[in-house]
Amino acid sequence: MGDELWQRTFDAIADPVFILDTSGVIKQANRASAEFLSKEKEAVIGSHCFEEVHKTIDFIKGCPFVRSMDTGKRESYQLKMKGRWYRVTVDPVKDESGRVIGAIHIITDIDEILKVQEIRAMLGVIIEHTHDAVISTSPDGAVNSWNQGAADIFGYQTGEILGKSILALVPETDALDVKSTLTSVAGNTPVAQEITVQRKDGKEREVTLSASPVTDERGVISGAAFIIRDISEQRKAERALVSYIGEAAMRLKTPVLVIRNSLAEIRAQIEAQSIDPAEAALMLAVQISAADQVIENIRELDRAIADGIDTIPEQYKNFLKS
Amino acid sequence: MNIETLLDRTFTITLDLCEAEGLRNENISLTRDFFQAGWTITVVTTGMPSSLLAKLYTKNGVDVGTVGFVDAITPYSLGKTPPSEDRIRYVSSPGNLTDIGIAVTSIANDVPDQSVFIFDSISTMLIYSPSPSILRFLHFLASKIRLKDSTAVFLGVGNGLDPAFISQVGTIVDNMTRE
Repeated sequence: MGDELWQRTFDAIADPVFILDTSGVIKQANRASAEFLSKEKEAVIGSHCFEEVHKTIDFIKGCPFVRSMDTGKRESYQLKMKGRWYRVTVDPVKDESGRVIGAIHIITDIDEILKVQEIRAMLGVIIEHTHDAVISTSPDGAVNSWNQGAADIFGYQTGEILGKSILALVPETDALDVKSTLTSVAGNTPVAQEITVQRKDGKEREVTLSASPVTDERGVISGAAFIIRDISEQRKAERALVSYIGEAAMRLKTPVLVIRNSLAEIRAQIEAQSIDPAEAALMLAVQISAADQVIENIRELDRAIADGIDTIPEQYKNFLKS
Repeated sequence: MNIETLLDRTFTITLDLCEAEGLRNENISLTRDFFQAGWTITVVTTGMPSSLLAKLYTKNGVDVGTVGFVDAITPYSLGKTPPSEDRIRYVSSPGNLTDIGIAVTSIANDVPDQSVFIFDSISTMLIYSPSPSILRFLHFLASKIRLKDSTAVFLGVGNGLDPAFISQVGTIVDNMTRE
């Protein structure tokens, strides 16, 4: 390769690259180096790398150049300069006998990579600590990843479920629903639904499931992501509430209506003098008994609702039971 | 309700839902119609004492000497059981479904084919027992009454019953009417 072609190739590298001698003096620098240091290339050559890069009078602690000269191998480290993170890599240059005669010093901007890694790490922590199940699968539903929330909801530890079909998590009666979900996701259509799932111990749980396609860097669907929330307790409470309201209406509203109409009937009969005092007293006694029972029914229903729903705060439970 | 479907035995077990204000009149009307058709009548009452019902029936032209009662309200309201009478079986409380069931079964064993049991009412029974118990009780009674080839009418206040409850009772009865 001719000098000119070599220089053009050297300058084409987007990362700042120095060629150093064994004492750390810059022998050559590419165009990216000059731009990185905001200097002309010629002004950089002949200086020690630490003078140009770190503005120090000696090698900094942990300098990969110093280590590389010592080990004869590639050395690197990460450092923050000008508000961004860089990886500095030093590869030793050796002669035919293997003696180190210099080094290639490459500075790579890894700020974006580190930020993405940081965000991913943060998301990873969130996923790992959420109570919701977060599951990723292949397009055909084989489980690829499984968080602690999934382990809590389904009872399977990660090692027990990886590679198995997500269909193993639903009763046979709901398998078609999940197959349909996989088909929709494969067609790039997210799905949100409520289904019943089955735990490892055979118990069923009611859950909300949202499934989304996972795409690779090319935008091709490479799998599905499931977020599953256990709503069994919520649904149980809702059903108990509806049951309570229905039972309360029947055992409170209807009886009160019956009592009210009976009292109106008694009044009408008294006014019409069609019943004697003993009969009126008997009819009123019936209504008093019914009213007593209605009061007892209210207590009974309140106790049932207080004992039946764990999520009711203790102070309300005490109030309902009093 | 159209009593013809009961008299011609199209339906055996009927749920007759009416307005709260019309419940008493529906009881009297049914009893009178069955009486006039010559049927043997047993009224199971959990809302109005049999002595007062008998008086109303008499006023409406029914010979109460031909009407039997299972009275679950008088002893409960008085706190004691009145002296026994031939045509009245007293049960301690409207919530004592077991004894009501025994009384009805016992009567059903003795009555002729053309006999009807009028239950007044599901609504008052619900004051004293939870709906699941009432459903089990109705299921039991319906089976017994069908077995004895008798007829039954369960009266109730229509707009005060839980739709789910009515739907479940609907699986027990042959016919449901609503005024």
